[in-house]
Amino acid sequence: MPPEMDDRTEVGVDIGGTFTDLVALDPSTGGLVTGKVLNSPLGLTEGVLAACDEVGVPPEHIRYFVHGTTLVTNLLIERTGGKLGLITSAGFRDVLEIGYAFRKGTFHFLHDHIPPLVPRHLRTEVGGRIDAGGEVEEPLCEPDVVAAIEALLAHEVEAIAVSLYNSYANPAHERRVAEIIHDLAPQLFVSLSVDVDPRIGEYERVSTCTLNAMATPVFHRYAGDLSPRFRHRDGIRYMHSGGGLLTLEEARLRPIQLAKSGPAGGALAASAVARHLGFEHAVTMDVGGTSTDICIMLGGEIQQREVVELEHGIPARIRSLDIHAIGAGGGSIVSLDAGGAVSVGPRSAGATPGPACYGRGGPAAVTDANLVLGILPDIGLLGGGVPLDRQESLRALENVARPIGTSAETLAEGVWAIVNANIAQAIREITVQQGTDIREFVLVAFGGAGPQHAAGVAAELGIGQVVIPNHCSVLSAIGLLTADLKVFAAQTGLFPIEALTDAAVQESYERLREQAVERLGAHAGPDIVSERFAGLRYVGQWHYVPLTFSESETPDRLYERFEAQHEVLYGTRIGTAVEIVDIGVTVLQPRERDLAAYLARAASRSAGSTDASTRRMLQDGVPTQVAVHARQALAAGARLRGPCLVEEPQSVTYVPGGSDTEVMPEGYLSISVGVDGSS
Amino acid sequence: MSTPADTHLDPFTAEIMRSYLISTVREMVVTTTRTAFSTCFCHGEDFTCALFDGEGVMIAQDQGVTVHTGAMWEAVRYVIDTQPSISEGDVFLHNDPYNWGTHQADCMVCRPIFYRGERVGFAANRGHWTDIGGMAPGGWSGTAEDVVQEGLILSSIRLIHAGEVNEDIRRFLLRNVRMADQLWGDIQSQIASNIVAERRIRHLIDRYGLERFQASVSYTLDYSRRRFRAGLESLPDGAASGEDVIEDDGRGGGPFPIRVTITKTKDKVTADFSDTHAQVMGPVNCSLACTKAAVVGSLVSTIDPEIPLNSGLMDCIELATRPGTLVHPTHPAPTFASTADPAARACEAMLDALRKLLPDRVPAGSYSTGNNVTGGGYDDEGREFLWYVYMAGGCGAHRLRDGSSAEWHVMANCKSESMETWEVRYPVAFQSYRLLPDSGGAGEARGGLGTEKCLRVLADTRLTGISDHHEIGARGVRDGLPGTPNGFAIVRDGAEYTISELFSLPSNSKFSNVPLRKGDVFVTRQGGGGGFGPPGRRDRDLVERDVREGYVTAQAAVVYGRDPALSP
Repeated sequence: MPPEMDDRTEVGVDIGGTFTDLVALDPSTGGLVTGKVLNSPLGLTEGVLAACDEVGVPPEHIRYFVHGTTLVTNLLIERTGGKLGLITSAGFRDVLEIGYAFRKGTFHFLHDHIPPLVPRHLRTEVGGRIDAGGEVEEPLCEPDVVAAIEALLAHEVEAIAVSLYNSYANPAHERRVAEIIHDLAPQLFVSLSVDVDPRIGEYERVSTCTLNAMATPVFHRYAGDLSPRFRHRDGIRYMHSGGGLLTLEEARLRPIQLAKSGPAGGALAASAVARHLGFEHAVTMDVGGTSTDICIMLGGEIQQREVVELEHGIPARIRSLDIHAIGAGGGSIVSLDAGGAVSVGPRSAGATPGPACYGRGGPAAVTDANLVLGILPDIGLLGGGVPLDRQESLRALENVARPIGTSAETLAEGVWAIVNANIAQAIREITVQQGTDIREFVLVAFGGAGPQHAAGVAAELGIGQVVIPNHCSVLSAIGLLTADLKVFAAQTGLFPIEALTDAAVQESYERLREQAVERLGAHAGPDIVSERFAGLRYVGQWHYVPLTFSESETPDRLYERFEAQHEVLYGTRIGTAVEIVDIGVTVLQPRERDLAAYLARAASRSAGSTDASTRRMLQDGVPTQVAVHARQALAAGARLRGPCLVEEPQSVTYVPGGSDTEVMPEGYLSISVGVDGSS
Repeated sequence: MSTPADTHLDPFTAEIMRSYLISTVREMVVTTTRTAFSTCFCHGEDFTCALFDGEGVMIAQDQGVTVHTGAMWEAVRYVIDTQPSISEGDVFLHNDPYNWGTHQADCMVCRPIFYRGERVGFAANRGHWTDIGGMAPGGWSGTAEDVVQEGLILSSIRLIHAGEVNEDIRRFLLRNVRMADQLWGDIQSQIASNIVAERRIRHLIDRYGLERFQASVSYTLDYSRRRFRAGLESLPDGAASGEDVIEDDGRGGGPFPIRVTITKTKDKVTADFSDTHAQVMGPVNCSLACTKAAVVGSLVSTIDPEIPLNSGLMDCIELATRPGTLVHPTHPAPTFASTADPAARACEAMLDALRKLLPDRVPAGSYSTGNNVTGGGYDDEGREFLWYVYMAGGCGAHRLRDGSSAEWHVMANCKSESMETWEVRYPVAFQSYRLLPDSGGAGEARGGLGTEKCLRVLADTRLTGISDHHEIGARGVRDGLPGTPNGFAIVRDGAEYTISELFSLPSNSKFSNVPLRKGDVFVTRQGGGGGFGPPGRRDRDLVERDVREGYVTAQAAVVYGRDPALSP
């Protein structure tokens, strides 16, 4: 029966690769309603509405709606954005097509060709030149601009991206182009590189600006379709790649910021769990149907990156949580590679046909292995939404196992270990960049399949403690509900660190802050928080180290912090001159920050059994009866010895032999990982 | 042949350990990229990491740069053989092109891995140093007549002994190169990557024990060998010959043919270069390591591009050469260009032969040069600068698809650097960077387009470079037409000149320290790839698309039977 809802309901919706997750805060009971549905083939709006329907929350009752969406990600991958043209400086229209000229896979001379984001005949050039110092060396050729716009209009473009050479140093020419477009064709969507990403680096800038222009018309249509379903439209928020929220207005202007919206909510929530428990360093691991998203928290801060690579290595320079996706999930396909070795992923069986156990003719996948091992119950999870067929799993695994002379059961154990090793390797490769010892970390696992593999991954890495938060299968959606409004504005500085306190630099920071506050929208209150950013490097280096600091920072202190961070990251202090490359300001409007309180809320609707039982599992090839506990029946302080399983409606936690688990006061499961947990 | 069963590893543990070894090499790569100073390392990723067993057998290598891949283990082996003793914490430098180095600029930094007092492995990182001394900044001296002019030769030199830097060596090295601070930073980053590998291998042995580690090493070698042999089944048994030429030696001589005969038997391939032209007195001889890399690179690209490289598969490839030839020069012939044009030519000769065995698999020829050029001098404030250009161009068409435009040829792979960042770092201003219309060879499948970059120098600049195929375009196959050749030009006071015109030199593509004046524009053109199949058979829609996009001009589309008067 749907709970009593009034129009104070707060809802977070997270659309992933396979499932749509929804969390609603029920104002009448204070409880959480959670739901998980397979993605709708009818489209995103329908998917969101279906999820609302699943949990019985009509959209008109939603006061505050936070959306994590793959809309932008997918339209960039599938190139379903609007028809657009590009205006560039004379001599540089091919920069977008040439890119890094880098071949992925040194020996792959027959890789697929990726068409440029804008075909060459829609990339136009205009005369005029700004030099590296920002001086106008040659004035903008306005007749060229008019001709370019007319040519693009003749091709019926919906949007125009404008990215001129060296514009980061002086935006005047781009601004003038925008005025001329506005005069000639006010109906067009226009993205200027100096508005989207005014930083040095012609390829990243034109790429980011073009991607933004591509996303704009589609995003406007989607928002135009979805928003009217809500009564409280000023309560609509979008999660951006950097782990903060945008208002609808800001998302419409710079939709490229949503390119990595999907996984951000989960990383936010999981790292908040780790912080709440007093951990400085954490690895968060979200294992879904298609992929595993990994994120590192160091010293209480989620690692960020300035450039994300979209499909085919196309760069988008947007401030993002540094989340690494690897092709390991429940749907990852099990096969034999060209050398006859067992390989798992990166290809996925997806939602359709899904793993073999979905009974739709799908291939052997990780879910099949976990079903055969007994980690998953024969009836399946997801509140019984997708019934699973163990016989199909056995058959599919048998087909892979036969040529290498082994059984489906043995293969299933091997698959579990290989998935864990693949995820562990990815984590190791990520942390090596950060100069840290992974063994000091806690692993926070969530997502549908995360808790099935967490203890195995931790053992592989030498991590001693794993935490499985409450509502772990919809944690991403909960992260959305607790996120802050947050905007980041940046530009290129290029000055010696000593100039930090110069009036001109202070003025630049102040201007960036004003821009950021404006982008925060009408919701910016007196309690907004702001923070400065700089990318620093030793003069002569190429990569920079990002640091954040307050308005009162001095060059000396910043220099010291930079050297200390360089030493942590790369093992050395060089002691030479330092320059600041990019500067930026983050402003945020804090919201309820107590994630733990959210997580502690009981589920409003109970599902599943509360009885403990046993299940037949394979342990080193031997069938063993293993205890199965219902998570909601466990009281704080309860201790369980592995091997055992802890079940909840949409997830199951596997505690291998040699490990044990305890229910923490907050309700989280804490697993102490045995040294031999996975070998 | 060992299998997982007789080395006490179940197939899953074996697989987990194998991918751990490969992952270790990737960690080495990340460590280097993040800590290095030079553009070659940070953007060019012009370095390669590898892991060896205690005797120098190569276990794993990142795909890095093809020219580095050929003979890293031979170089490690050379270090082992030349050193009377090797201690924990030692670091060796090696770049000797006459002992399995590629060219002097690529210096291998290697370090033994010890486990409880026993030597269990080596980690090595071979990377392109910005400068290694010699007659021209950054190397690439087009007029060198012997290898000594090309820079310092570091032949199995112990830089660090049991953790202690040998200050004599360090001082000697840093007093003999340009941009010495940058070099020391880069060496540190190479060593850092070796230390990461050591940490990882120790962790692996802690976890599984030494015996199972060694078993995983043989499993890893077997895996690649087995996989390479499986791939070889697609190559018919038999023999075929191929050829390409080095256009000139920079002194007016040439062209010089490189010839290879490939013989394939059941599970082995032999590449015999005996019939190649004698070595020459210009820097276009190919060090043996680079010749071997060309053989490995062409075979792996053709047969199985994803195969993990290690000594296991190298055992299936045999190289036969005659000392004193272009592909196996004898000391002191100059070899600096080895990693660029001669290796690319040896690779093209291999592909020419492979094409006869596998006509549908191998693409047409590619631009196959780096057009490597350095510019050096002093800016307005008297600061030394040194920049290095190396460029992607047009690659060959394949039966099933057009060639890649603006992409590296098989023997190289780098990321292009930001021009805007160059402008704040060096006294240069870019005027254009574009695809070259009509550069791709016409064909049923068209060759990829070459590129052109125009750079104005804002200070007097000494220009040095080595390139080739400035006369001959990339080979078309099966009635496909050749691509346009590579080229350099200087625009001075509005007029365009070739290098040989402007500086009265015998070669357009090989020169050292020619003086550009402030305001001159240096133009570097990378040719297009060769076409595949007769142009008349090209799909009409693709012809129209090419004209619409300006990849092919209306005038040039006549070759496809298109009326030039038609509007695009």
